[in-house]
Amino acid sequence: MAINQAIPGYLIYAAMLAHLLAFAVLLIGPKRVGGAIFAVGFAAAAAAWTCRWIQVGHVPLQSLFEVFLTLAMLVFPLSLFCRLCLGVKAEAADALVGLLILFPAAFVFSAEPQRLPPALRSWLFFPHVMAYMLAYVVLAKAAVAAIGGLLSGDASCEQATYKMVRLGFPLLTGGLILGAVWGKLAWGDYWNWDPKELWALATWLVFGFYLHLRAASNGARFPRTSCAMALLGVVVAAITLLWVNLAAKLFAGLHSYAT
Amino acid sequence: MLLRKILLWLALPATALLAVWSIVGAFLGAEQASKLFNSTPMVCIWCGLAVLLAVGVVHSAWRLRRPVLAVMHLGALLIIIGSMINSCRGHELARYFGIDKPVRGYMVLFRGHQSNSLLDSPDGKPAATLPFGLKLEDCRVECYPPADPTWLLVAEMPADRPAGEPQRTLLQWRSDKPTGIPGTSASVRVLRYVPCARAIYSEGTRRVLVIRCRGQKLIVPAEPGRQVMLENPRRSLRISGLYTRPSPRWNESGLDVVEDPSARRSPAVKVEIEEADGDKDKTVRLVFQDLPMHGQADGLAMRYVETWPIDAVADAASDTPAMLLEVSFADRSERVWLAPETPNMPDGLEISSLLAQAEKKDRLPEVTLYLVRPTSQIKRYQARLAVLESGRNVAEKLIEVNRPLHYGGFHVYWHYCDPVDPRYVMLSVRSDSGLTVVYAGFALLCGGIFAWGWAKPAWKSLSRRSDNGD
Repeated sequence: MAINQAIPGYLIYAAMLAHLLAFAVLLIGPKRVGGAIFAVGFAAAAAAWTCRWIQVGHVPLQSLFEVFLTLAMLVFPLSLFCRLCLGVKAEAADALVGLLILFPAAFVFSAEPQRLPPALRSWLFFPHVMAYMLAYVVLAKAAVAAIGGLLSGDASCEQATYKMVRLGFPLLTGGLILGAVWGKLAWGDYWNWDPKELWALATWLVFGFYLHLRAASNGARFPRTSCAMALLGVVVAAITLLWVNLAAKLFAGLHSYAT
Repeated sequence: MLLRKILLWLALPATALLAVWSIVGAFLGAEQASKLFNSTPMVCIWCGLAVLLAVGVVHSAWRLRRPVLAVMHLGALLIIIGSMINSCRGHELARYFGIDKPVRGYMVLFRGHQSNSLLDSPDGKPAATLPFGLKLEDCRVECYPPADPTWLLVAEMPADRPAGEPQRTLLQWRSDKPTGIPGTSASVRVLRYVPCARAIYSEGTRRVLVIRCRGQKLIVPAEPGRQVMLENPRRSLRISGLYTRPSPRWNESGLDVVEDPSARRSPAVKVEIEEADGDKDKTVRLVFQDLPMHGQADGLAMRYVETWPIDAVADAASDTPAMLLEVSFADRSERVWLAPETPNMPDGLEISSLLAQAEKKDRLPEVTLYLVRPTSQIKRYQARLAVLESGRNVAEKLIEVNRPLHYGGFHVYWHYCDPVDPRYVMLSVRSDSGLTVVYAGFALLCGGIFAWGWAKPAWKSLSRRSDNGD
């Protein structure tokens, strides 16, 4: 575990502190104050992300450090959107998710700046990765709701899970298809049977299974089964994001630069 | 409703099976996964899935009247159909209909050369031809400037086995601090580093021939063709060749020396000595750096020794540095300037030569120090291609990674080139059959899913608000 002593590092620590405080206040204190602290945490994460962009000279979505910083930055705006537009309220859990995402960015992954290799110098780099980032944050929120549904069997949790999956699944599809188009331009084939691609396809298929199962069982008739499937999808998504990159020897492939 | 239920309950095992196979494929690796998903049983499953999707599309559109569902499933169906057309089996099938098109291949092109021959793999044999020719007009590699422009100090030790590669270690030096050379008890201290420097050599060259003759000492730069006259007796001495790995052979005309890359490294100089009166035959000697006794001839003592720069001065026009080192071993230490290797003199600083004065060479470590340019990360590879039809130039494009050439039903991609010496490129060529169908599938699948997941709920929410008079 290394302490990041650059400016983005200090901003990440500040963001972590704000997320921790926000979580505590949202749980036991006034919601407005908790929400304001959560917003401060977002501002710190966004400032760290901007500093990183200036530091590396390209949109910071290349290394796992940058990916996790981006994920953490997206938690607050998506939490706000889901609360205002979809009526899914889980701010305390969202602040905790933000804190958990910031932890590896602060202490685990290397913040060594990297230059873009030729394959990543494409206009598709930002939309492809950003679509996945947004999908992962939304699906993390789905996982929180699914855990609630699994534990309680509550239909409202199942409904919240479905709303999140319905928001995240199009992003997952967009990320997958943009990746295929990019693969065709960069490597010659839109599908290369690369381990990362196959895990991404497996994620998409598990959520496809979840949606077909829900449709076949007429909505929320089996909330626990439905939540379990959504949770399985999030686990496979986490493997796609993390394990494939970290276990490079086990899954050697075209995406090995994203470490 | 019954058909809907049947379709849904058939879709579940199909989706689950594909998800499981995807995970299995991820563990197998790309090559094996590709074989698995293109195997005959999987082709049957793909066909079954296509039929299921087709029925689903028709049912969603006509019976359920749910166009969004129909569009997204039509998208998935088109992706499967397009992929089948684009596959090897699809191309084999197309041959029965008179469409003979290679599905993929590789092409090696040297700068200025043209070809239409495709190899079956990057290092394979010719397997097909393109209906047009490609000519490589130019290729280049662009690098990022190095993060730290300081040159690297590298220690090279001999291989630990006869046919092995020499071992190179990067020395992490800090100014004025001794740095140990791994595997030896020698150390090196960097006293000064001049980033842009011009090295100054004592005799204008780095190796010299030291000649001793009846108390007379001459230092001759080791350059082929260099000649000196010696007195008592009067004779001429001419340097006729320099060798790094010499292989000497005696034949009828005398000593013949050739450079042999497989021979042991043993720098040597070939010297011809001729009497001024011409009574005697010409004497030829091969003077080795490592074997001083070979330099004894007719009262002459010759030594072939390496010199290093005696100084270095800052020179803004130079793009190479110089480094003042203090090399220490046991109780000895020497200060010496180290300059980068040059193409015609690829030698570093041999510690054993530097510290050889004590005549204990066998105990000295066999280490050579080099200054090496820091590596730069590659930013882009570019190749300018011309498309030729009947010898006529019909199209041109500067291709790079992410920017292929599309012509005549094929995509041509940059695949590989030597970043150090980009005289040739390897291109990969892919047939574009079925690609339009796949892309149409992508658009419909993506559009359908966004319409279902985002547009439909947003529309419902807006309608509800409008009904409520918000």
